[in-house]
Amino acid sequence: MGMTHHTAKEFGEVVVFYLKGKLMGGPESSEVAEEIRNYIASGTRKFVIDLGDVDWINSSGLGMLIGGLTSVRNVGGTLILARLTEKIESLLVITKLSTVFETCPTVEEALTKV
Amino acid sequence: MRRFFRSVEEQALLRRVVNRLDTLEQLFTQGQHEEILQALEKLRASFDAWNSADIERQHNELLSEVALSLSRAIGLEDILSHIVEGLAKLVPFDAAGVFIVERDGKTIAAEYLRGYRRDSYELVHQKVGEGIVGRVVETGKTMIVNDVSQNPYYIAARKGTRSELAVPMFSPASGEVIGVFNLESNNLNAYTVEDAELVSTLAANAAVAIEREQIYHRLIYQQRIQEELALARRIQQSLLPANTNVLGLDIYGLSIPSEQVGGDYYDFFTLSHKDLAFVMSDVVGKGIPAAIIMAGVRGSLRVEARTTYSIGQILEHVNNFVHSTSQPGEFVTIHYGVVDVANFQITYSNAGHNPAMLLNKQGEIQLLSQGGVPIGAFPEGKWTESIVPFHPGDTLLLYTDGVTEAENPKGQMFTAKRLMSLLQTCVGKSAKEIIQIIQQEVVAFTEGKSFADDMTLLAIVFEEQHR
Repeated sequence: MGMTHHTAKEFGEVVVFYLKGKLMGGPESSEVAEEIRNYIASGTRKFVIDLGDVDWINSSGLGMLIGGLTSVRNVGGTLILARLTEKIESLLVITKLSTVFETCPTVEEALTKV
Repeated sequence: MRRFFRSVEEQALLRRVVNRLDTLEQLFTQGQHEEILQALEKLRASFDAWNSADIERQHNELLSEVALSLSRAIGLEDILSHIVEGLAKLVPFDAAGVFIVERDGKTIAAEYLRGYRRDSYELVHQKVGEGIVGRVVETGKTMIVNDVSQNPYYIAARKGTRSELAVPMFSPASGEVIGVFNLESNNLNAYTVEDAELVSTLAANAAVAIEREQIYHRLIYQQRIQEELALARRIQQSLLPANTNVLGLDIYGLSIPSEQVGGDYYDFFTLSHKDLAFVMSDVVGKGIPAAIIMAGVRGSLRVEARTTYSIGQILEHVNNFVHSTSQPGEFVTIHYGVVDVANFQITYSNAGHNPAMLLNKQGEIQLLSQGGVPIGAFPEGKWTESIVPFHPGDTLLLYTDGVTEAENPKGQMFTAKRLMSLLQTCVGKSAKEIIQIIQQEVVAFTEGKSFADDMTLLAIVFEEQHR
């Protein structure tokens, strides 16, 4: 039931995470959180998370995103969520997390804003 | 030594010895010296053959003794001690040890020792791949070391040892190496291939005993965990308030954890002669970790609700508590509110929780979604309060996402929309009826597929006759 796949790519000083499948906590989610922390430790301050291919996020998945955002903000960095599906958008609205996360319709736009 | 049970082969060999003795006797009486010498030669050969068969029989006797002790002895240590004692009659050693690979697959523990100093660091801290024993675990092959000082793997764990025999023990179930049967001698070249074969046979017996013991312990351990979980479940269920009728409010709640314990909970308690506080909450995750956070949230919310008036402040205080005690990424969604039956209103704040549904007598539904972010996610936050009218005949329904996200076998979710349509048919029903209708509908929708998440519901019906 976990996320099936994730990759990370660097665009200059920005790191983009591409997530796929279901974001349901689980070991893959901890891997993403761990990778974000590693990038932070090696100096990265700007992150984009592409959620366009994520079918569903549960509360543990949201926890991972919140954990990532907190780690990034603690070092004065920025994190933008890109390509939110309608389902995920409404989940962020329900949980009011839409007031906390910066979002962008495309990864390209996120790269210019981050 | 018992001499009654002889194998067919052994009986044949013995018969030949006896025949040859008879022949020899005849030759003596006939005075044929050449033939006597030849016959003596043959007799010696036959006798040797019988003799070695006799040793084999001793081995077999030992094996049956070991097998017997396996069925008799209770503890693993008893069994291993029996095996090693029996072995001492056949293969000489100055120290013997049975070593078992730990669950991590990396370290090796001494299960039974004889002739060693037990406090030897090298003995109790063995690692797979290191030392003779560690090497045997890694390769699964017997090692006969004629001179330990010449062996690159040897790590001294005992003074005086000059040669060593280490035999792997294999799991009868999986065939994997589970440990090593190890003998050490103060003499050089103490062990032969025959010794190794005998020890292998015994090691197989030891492996059965070891595996049986391990399975037994695992079962005991699992049983204890189950008992503790059942206890945790009883404690958690006892934290939920009893369904009741208070201040003219008909209240009914239900919480079904997907595991023994869960992170969902609901609560309600009177704050005054006209005010009833209610809570619906969902802790991130499931099982024990969620249950622990849940118990903390419940306690702090109950204390705050009684000492602080402003709902926004109550949630700020609870946020401080949860954020300071939780790990990054852990958070709690809380729908907290107060029903004021004298002023016909509900004051509430929704901290990232699924919006409660307020059903009026006309079958219209209002969603209570105002508030703030989930509790504990961030060090600070603001939670706004909202007031909505609540009159006799109205119903407030609170729930967790385990209800709206319950999946059917096709992977479709129950959804808030379906819950709303269902609730609209519930005007005039009691709180218990409403919860039961929803529960039945969710169960029917999921077609018996087990719930992946905790599912919790609470209905508060403002009774008509109350004035």
